[in-house]
Amino acid sequence: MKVILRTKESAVFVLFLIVFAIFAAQTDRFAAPDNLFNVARQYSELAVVSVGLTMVIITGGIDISIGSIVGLSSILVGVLCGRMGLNIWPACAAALLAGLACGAINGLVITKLRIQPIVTTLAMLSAARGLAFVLSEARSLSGFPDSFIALGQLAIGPIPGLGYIPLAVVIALSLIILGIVVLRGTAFGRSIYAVGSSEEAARLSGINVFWVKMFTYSFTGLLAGLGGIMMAARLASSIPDAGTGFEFEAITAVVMGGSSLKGGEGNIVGTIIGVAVMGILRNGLNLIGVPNTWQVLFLGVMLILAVLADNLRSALRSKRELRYAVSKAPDGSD
Amino acid sequence: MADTTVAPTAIKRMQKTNPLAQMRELPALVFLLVAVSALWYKAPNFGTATNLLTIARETAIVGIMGAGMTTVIITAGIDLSVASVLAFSAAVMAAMVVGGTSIWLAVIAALGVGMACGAGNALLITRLRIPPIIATLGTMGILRAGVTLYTHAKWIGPLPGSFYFVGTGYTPVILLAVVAATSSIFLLRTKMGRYVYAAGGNEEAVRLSGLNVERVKSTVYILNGLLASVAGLIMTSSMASAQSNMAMGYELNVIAAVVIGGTSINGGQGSVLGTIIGAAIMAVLSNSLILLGVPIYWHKVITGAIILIAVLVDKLRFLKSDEGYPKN
Repeated sequence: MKVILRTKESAVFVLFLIVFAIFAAQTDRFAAPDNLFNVARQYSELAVVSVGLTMVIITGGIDISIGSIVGLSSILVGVLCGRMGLNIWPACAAALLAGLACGAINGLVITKLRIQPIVTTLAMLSAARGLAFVLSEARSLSGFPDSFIALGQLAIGPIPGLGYIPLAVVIALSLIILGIVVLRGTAFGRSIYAVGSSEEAARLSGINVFWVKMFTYSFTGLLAGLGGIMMAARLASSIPDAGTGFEFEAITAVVMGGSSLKGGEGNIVGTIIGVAVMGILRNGLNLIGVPNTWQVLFLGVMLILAVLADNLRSALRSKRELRYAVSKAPDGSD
Repeated sequence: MADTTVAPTAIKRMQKTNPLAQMRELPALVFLLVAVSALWYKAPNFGTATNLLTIARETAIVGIMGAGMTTVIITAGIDLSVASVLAFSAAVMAAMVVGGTSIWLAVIAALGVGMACGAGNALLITRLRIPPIIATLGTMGILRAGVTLYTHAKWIGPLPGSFYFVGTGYTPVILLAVVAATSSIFLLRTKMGRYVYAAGGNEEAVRLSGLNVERVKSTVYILNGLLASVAGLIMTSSMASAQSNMAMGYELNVIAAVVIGGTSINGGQGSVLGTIIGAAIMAVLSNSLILLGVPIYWHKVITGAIILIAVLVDKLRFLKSDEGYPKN
């Protein structure tokens, strides 16, 4: 039990349970299957994008352009399919490619031109959002085929014990599992951690730092593209400011989940629990009638508390390790 | 993030070969001058006094906030909460004035609120050891929510006519000049200012050499809060009221101005002069795009491209020597 409590994910999981319990006690509607079903559907987009962002943050980088890429991708689907009458699937493929391209540009600028990630993705944040507005002429677009909208509403099941599961959640879950397998189970995943803890050491031990970084940024761009498509399907329309503020929610989730912005540590399980905390917190506050302004305030406080708790825990851990080292030293004085 | 800085030998070598290379702000300045002269011929309304004063006010707002942000970024920190601090201090001031307090007392209160917000950031960053980007991301949300709750999302005004001079005519330019001069003197000519560069260069080395890094950092965040509230005075005066969503998103403009001006986001180097040139570029850019009839939606695309180009030009000057520019 103690071992479990010391892992990084456990803190955010305890937080999740507390928040869940508080809202379940406040209102009956919160824990109702229908409500949780909706929260899961709404937050699968953020979950998908956060998988990529976690990898970026593990390499010691950051990507604040994800929200804008979500918007651009969503608008591309709308423009190509809704306005120009292209078939929906090529339109989705184009949106995915656009996301991948944005991510690859981020990666190239960061690795080849060696411009800091925060500056590069700040420029992309501005450019991609601008492009979304240019393409859509600042209007929201619709006119998707029924089959596409139905996919956004589709639920799979019934699965014994769980009931119906939204397709969006299934997509998010499979990407989460893919992310965990890549990070934990492959040599490439280990090299993502290696680049984050010491880029120089990683380079010297033969890791291709260029490809590791290119992969993380391109993959994040691709996932943001997917997030945009999922959002378009869920809302049955494309809005140019879709995904605004995604970057802040995603970074909060990643940090709550125990990843360090300095790089080298973090995991997707923690991030996803972080996303879930954001989801139930927002939803629960909505249900008990807390205005959006207060929700923003809450999230800000939560973010700071999460980092504080993490600092406290690592301080306790290093104290404990120090005491252990002292007790194991030959004459107890070293 | 990376903590490497430019190798001193490379800088020395460049300074010997080319005295102009000492001036990091040069590319930005050249860009600004070319842009301004081209616009003077291309856009008929650009050179009018009204238009130039509008650009000057925008430059002053971003430049004054940028001066504070420059000191923060030189310590390898960042402050995303400036726009929220601006709005919060402006709202407090406007509410006091509407409630009958003397305007100058309210101005002092606004500056105090700005400093207090900066002190709050400093506390989170130095005492509680929260990384600056996270701490100020949190306070950005908290303060913006605070303003909305405080103002009930309504505009607070009108302010007395005696206050309008702050945001009109030449006053913003004079305020900018005063802020630029004092913060440059602070950075270049005072002991604390030199410590600011040192703290961003190699924090560990500085700590080991006996300097109180926490005090240096606290100073820059408090200064940054103060300057955000000064910029808030100009904005409030020019709009004759305070609003809960005022200056929303300005933190990105300010950071862009700092970066365009040649300050390294890795810390250890940068100048207020460069930032003010950067702020002027941003102001001229958005103004000229409107005058030239470019659809408003292209502005963001172009701003993004300009940020990248500016940073790239700055980098290119260091590309010749391998060791001579920061790694990621």
